[in-house]
Amino acid sequence: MQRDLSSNFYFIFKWVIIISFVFYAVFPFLWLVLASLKTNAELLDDPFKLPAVFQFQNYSNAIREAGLGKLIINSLVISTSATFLNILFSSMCAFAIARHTFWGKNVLFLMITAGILVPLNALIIPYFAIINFLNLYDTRLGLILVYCAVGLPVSTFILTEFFKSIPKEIEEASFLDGCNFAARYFRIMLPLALPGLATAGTFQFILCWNEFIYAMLLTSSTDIRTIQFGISYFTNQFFSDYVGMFAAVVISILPSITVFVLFQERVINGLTAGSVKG
Amino acid sequence: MIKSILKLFSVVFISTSLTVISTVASAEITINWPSIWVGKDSKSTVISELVDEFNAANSGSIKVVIEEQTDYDIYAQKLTAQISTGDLPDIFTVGADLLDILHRSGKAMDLAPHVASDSHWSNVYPDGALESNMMGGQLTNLPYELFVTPVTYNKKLLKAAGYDEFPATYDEFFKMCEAVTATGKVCTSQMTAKNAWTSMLWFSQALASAGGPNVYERGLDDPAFVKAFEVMEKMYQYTTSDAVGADAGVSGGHFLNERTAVFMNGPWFIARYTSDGIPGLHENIGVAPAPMLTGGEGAPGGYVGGKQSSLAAGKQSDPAKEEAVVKFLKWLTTPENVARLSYSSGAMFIVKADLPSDMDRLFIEMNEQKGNAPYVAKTFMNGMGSLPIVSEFPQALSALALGEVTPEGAVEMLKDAE
Amino acid sequence: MQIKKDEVVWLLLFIAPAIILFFLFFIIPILFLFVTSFTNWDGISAEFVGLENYTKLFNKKSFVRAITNNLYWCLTAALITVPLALIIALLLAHRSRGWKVFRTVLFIPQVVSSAAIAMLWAAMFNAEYGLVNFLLDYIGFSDYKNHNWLGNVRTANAALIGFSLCYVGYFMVIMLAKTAGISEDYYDAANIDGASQFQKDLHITAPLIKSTFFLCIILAVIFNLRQFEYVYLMTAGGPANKTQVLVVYIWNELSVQRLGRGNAAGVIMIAIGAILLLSLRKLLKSETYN
Repeated sequence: MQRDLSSNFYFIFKWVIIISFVFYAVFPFLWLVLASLKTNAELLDDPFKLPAVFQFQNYSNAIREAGLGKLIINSLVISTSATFLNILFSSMCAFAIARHTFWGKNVLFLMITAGILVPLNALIIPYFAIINFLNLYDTRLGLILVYCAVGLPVSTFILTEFFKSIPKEIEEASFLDGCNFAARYFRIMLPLALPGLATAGTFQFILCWNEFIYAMLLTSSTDIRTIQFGISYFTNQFFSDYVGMFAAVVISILPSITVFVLFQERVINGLTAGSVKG
Repeated sequence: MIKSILKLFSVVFISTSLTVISTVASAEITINWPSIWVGKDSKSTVISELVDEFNAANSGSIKVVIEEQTDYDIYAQKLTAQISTGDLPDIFTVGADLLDILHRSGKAMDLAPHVASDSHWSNVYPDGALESNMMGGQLTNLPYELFVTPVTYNKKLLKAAGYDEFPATYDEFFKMCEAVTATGKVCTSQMTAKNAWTSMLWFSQALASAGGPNVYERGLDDPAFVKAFEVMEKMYQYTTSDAVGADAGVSGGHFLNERTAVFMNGPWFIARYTSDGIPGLHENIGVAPAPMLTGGEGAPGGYVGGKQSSLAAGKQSDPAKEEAVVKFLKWLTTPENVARLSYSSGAMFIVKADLPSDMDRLFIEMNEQKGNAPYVAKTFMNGMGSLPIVSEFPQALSALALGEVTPEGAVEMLKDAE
Repeated sequence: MQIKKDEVVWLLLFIAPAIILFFLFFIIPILFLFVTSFTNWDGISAEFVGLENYTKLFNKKSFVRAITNNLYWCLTAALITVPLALIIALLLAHRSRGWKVFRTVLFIPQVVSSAAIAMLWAAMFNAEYGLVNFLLDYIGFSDYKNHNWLGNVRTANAALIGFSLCYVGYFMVIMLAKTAGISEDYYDAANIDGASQFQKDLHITAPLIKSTFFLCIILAVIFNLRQFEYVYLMTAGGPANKTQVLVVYIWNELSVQRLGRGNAAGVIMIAIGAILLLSLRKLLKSETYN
């Protein structure tokens, strides 16, 4: 393949774009780490200067004061469960919608995806009432159900899209093999739609992980509370221990990034090897 | 693939079962308190000590459990939801803005009969303090924390500008601002983010000095409001360039770093001058009443302050539990305990307290000036009596500061908020 | 394919969980929202007031401002953010050295909690010590030395929208995932024909992920309609209501116990969203699979 002028230009263009966005994206994170190693006084004085002494104890303080260890475990349990349930339910629903025709299909799809439009912050009182009614206040299950439900519209939307784009021939072939509905779903569709599942799953996980308002609203005891509560521990009405908060934020990011890398790695890369040959 | 599904499924199963395992039921009465005085709040240490001591003294029969509420906005939304659905906590604190709907919900414990039958209450509360909080013959909240917001200024910076004392009138004050700016420092800390707290306090001071402490009763048409906005307009000419959009951290930070000379906040902030200010800041700080507008209806030395928070309880059907809640409320309002809270945090309380003699100098000065003040006017936030108007204030203020509206226009914006 | 009689049970079983949860957590609350929007509910008591909430809302300058701001956000998302994400996805699809690292790094902003990011960017835009002003001054634009980006009526919106560009990572990842399923055969054939990288991107990769691209546009527009945290944490709708957006407006109404009016604003928002969603689907429908 010849490399001509426009190819070179494209090459340069590519790397300029990538590097500048990487900078744009990574700089906040770097600053976060830097800020978490300063003292509050240093931070207020000049947020971007290097600290005089690296305050590593901000991290151990943060873990100790806010009990971050237990909170991270709670967040992990709740987010994983909610993501699992969410992906399960939305993929089941998306499979039904994407690959079959039945009465009410379009209405169902429109209705569920219309859920994306709903402003969750306005629903505080109804959600509080419903969770209390179900006796799920201050339970992990309550939060799990809410997170699962709240992410259904987006997940269903994404997954329907992915399912629709899988070639029909494979499924029709499975018919000849006598696969029933459930088998088609488990054996054929799920493996092929793994990139979609991983994508939707990643977003759902991050939604659960970062969610703050309902985590505070629907829980009260530290046994159930999530990591976002731990971060808010460092601020109050009139005062913020910024550096403690930033240390907690850095700690809280690590699991999310790990999940992201794992998902993207295992699932997507495993797939390019086995993609459909025409 | 199946393996990972099973792995995840077992996670779900385990977490579900964990939620089903409930706490052991006992004959002990549990009182839950979603408390905002936790975490980094200045009162959190003493509050948790008080709770521990109460639990120890009543072990086996009563246990108070604190549920930490670290975000005040969310707490307010949550409390509103709880008031609305009737699932009130056993004991909680409530700000002035929610007292009305709390009462109207009918779900709050009426403390009037308890107060009447026990001399503790009339001993620890100043005369008339409880009566003035009654609504419709019921006492649904106990006034608790108090605040005042005088001027706190940096004596060193003022001296460098040629001022040994804090000015008594706004004319003098703005002359002083010029002088301070000439020394390379900025005169005041202001902010418009969130509820524009510091600036709102200045506005309240200007309002009180223009229209007297009862200005709120006369409504927004009173010319005092325009005069107060005129003061704010000028004030914003002598503040940092990031004031519009600044929050409490930024505006406080400037004062703590000795970038600004004049600040305004409540007694709870006193500890911060030492812990987060530049070295030696605390010794340089002076306290003074706000300046007066010449020709206004306020009097020199007039203070601004008011109720910070009240204690309340949810209605109980079990008389034993109700007794337990009242017992804890009594514990929170003894003079010794309130003194401990004041001493460690700098907070002020309506409840009479036996304050030790080594209270922080600034606290003593504030207390003294408050005692000598001809009046303690309400803040705009508490006195206006209309949540939408108060909520619109930061927008009107930023519009004024940026020159988008005149002082009259700012008042119009407030009126439109209704 | 048309559903067979004996598979009806399976079908119902498969859509049941989603429907139940959706009913509980969407249908009921929305109905509640709708009904209370015609009252002056404040959390305790409610009286029917008809269309008063709606008319009052449309008469408020700040509410109308919120709607127009939201539309700016949506336009930016559709015309700038998602196309940028597409370009980056196409570029990363080359699988050049280190692409996985870049993908992870570009995704990091999504993972950091909004409170921390908002605080960081507010500090970057700060007039006194912000990095943006520092850099501009360094380059030579010293007029901007103390410019208050977020506190200035002309630049607040631009600053906010500029900040939102760090979210290209979200959509980039979705589109990149789709490229994983593209068969190598297409590229092999193109290589034989001597196509350049650019031509391959333009004529093979891009068309094959077109449906995902449109998916992302729809998602982006809807998410921007729901925008809350960043605006609330960085400017709270100010200064002077200039950066107001719908969900912040609703939150404010709820905070002052005007729940009826807040819910009416919510209903209006859903209506606008539905209109946007339907028109977008119609616009893009001919391009997607059916």
